Amino acid sequence: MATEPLRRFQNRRFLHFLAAAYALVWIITAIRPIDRGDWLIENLLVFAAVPVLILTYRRLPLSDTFYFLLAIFLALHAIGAHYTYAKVPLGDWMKQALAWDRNHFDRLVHCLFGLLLLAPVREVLMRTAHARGFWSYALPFTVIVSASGFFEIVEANVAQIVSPELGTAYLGTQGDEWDAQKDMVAAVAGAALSTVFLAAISTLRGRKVPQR
Amino acid sequence: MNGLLGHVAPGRDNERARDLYGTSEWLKEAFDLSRNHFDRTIHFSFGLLMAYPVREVLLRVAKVPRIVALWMAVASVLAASTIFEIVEAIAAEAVSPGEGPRWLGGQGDVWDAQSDMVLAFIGAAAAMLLTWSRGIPSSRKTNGN
Repeated sequence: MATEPLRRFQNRRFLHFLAAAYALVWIITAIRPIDRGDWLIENLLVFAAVPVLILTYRRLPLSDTFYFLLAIFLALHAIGAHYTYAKVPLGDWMKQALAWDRNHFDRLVHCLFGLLLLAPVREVLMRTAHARGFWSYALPFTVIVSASGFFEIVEANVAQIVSPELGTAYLGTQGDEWDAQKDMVAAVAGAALSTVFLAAISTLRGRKVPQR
Repeated sequence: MNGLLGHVAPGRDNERARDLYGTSEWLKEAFDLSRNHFDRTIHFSFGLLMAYPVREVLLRVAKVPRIVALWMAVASVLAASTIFEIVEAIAAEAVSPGEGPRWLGGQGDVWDAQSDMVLAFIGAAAAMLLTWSRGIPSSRKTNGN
């Protein structure tokens, strides 16, 4: 991942395709969202993350895998923001098909946050902090868990500051008093799964190399 | 005495908090607080006191750069606080199902978990800001002496 030649943006075809695809999803979901105020709050994340990625590209160009995983996550977030998460059709469908008591799309995205973003965080930590071996798994896992906790803190503050009606729409607790804890469990589980997956791949690759 | 019994004989709502942290009731009265905030003090202290030891482990065992150790110490404290809140919720559901955050440390606060976590975070951030601003030499540099 970190050893592959990282070329200039002009030469990275995959990234052109990825940027175009994400821009398309973002524009479509930006048109007439269910609740414009909620859409705006949800998109603060995008307005912060995308400029950081663009501005740091020259100093720290990351792998195709990094941008691919991040784009998938942000695309799901764009869809969630369009429907205020609680009304995403996929979640409504799952609620009926699996006889759930609520729309669980937000929880799915919390889980995917851990699942999809562990590898990108690991890549950044291996490149910048030179994390190796055990620490190249422990540190990204810690970052994901703390980010999930940090998100719940921010979410609670936003819910209290913003007008109460919008606050509850954004908060997406849907009446569950353990909502924050369940969200965090989902992220931790996703991150743990991803860690095991990455460690397994790394172990298999490590065994193959000496035999060649 | 009351404190120890509070652990093994869980009461409910504020009753338990009073038993467990009886000695800090004066804080509630002195500052006219809405609840007994002793648990909050401990959450804050956890961040304030644990960040530095965690940083030392990160520097000496994980051997990450110093600036990364500062950030990761804060992240580690917040991650531990997050895991703690999850475990606390599971424990609350196991001991008194259906009562939600009203039981255990919640003391009737729906934002209890978030308040606990933000205090641990602020404590850790303060400790690391202090460490950074004073340029306290890393243990790695002095070779553990």
